[in-house]
Amino acid sequence: MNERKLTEEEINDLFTFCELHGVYYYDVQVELVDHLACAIEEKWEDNSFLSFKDALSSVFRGFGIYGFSKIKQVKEKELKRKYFILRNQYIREFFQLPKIILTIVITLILFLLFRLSADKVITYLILTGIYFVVLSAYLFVFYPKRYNMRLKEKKKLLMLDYFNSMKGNIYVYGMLPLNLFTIFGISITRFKFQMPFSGSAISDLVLAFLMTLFGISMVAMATYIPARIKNDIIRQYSQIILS
Amino acid sequence: MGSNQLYKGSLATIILKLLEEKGRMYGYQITQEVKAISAGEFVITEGALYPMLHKLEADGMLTVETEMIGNRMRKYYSITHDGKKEVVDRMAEMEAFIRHMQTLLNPNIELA
Repeated sequence: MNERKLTEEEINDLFTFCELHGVYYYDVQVELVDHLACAIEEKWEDNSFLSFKDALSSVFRGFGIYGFSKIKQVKEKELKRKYFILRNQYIREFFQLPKIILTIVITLILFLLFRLSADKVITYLILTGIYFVVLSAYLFVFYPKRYNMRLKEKKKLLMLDYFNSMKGNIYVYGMLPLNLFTIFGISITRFKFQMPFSGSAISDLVLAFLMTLFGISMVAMATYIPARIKNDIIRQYSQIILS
Repeated sequence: MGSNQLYKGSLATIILKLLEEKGRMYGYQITQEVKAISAGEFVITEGALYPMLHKLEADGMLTVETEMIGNRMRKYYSITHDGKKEVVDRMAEMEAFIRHMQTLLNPNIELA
C-alpha cells in the first residue's frame, strides 16, 4: 500500500492552523506542526481516505480543551529562559583566561596613564569621549549592518525578538560610564572639574579597572554575543531567514 | 484511569530515562514509545510532554538538533552529560520512594 504523506501545502496549512490557535512564533510552531503531521499520517495509515481536515480536527481534539494554550505559554517562557541561559554561557565563554589577562594589562596601562598625567580629569574625559564616539559609530552604523536579519513574510521568531531586544540593552548599558562621573565625584559645576578622590592611587586603580571591565564587557555584548546568537538563529532557522 | 495522576510526577524521569536508553528522539516518537512500552497504560499528552521537554532543555538536561524530514522540520532531543547525572539521582530517588511506599502501604511484605 502506498503511504499517504502530507503535501507541502498541507504543511503550510498546519502553520496557519497554529497561528489561528494563537501560536505566532515560528520557533514554537515548528514542533507542533511536526507533531500534528506525524499524528495525521498515522491516522492515514489506518484510513488513507480520511480527509486532511477531518484527520486534523481529530488529532487536535487529542490536545484537550486547552488546545495549544498551555504548551504555548510554557514554551514561550522556557524559550526565553533558555536564551537567557545561553547568553550567560556565551558571556562565560568570552571571559576566559586571555580576556582576564587583557583586562589586567589594560587596567595597568590606564592606571599608569592616570598616575602620570598632569590632569586626571582631562585624561578621563578624553578616554570616555573616545569611547562614546567609537561606541556610537559602532552601534548606529556597523551593528545594524552586521546583525539585522529579515524573515520571510509573516514569520515571527521568538529568538529573533529576544536578539533584537538585546540591542536596546547595549544602548542602555553603553551609556552607564556617564554614571562613573557621579560615582567618582567628578562633578561638572560652573565649568570647573572637581575630583575629590584624585591623588589616591587606590581610586585611580579602581577607576582604571572599572573602565577596562566596562570596555571589555561592551565588546562582549556588542560583538561576541550577538555574533554567536546570530549563528544559532541561522543554523536552526535558515529556511525562514531572508538575509 | 486515575493512575495517570501517579505517573504525572514522574514525567521528567520517564523522559530522561527513555532518552538515555534510546538516544535522540522527537516529540511524537516519545509519546508513541511510552504508550507502547506501557502497553497503553500510560499516555503522555502533548500538553504535558512539550512543556516538560522545554523545561528540561532550558535546564541543560537535553539538547536539541533540527533536521528537515521530507518537507517539514523536526526537532530531535538528546540527553546531555548533566541529564545523565540527573537520571542516576532521579532513579535512586524513585527506587527509595517505591520501597517506602511498599513499607507504608503494606508492612507485611517487609516481614515475609
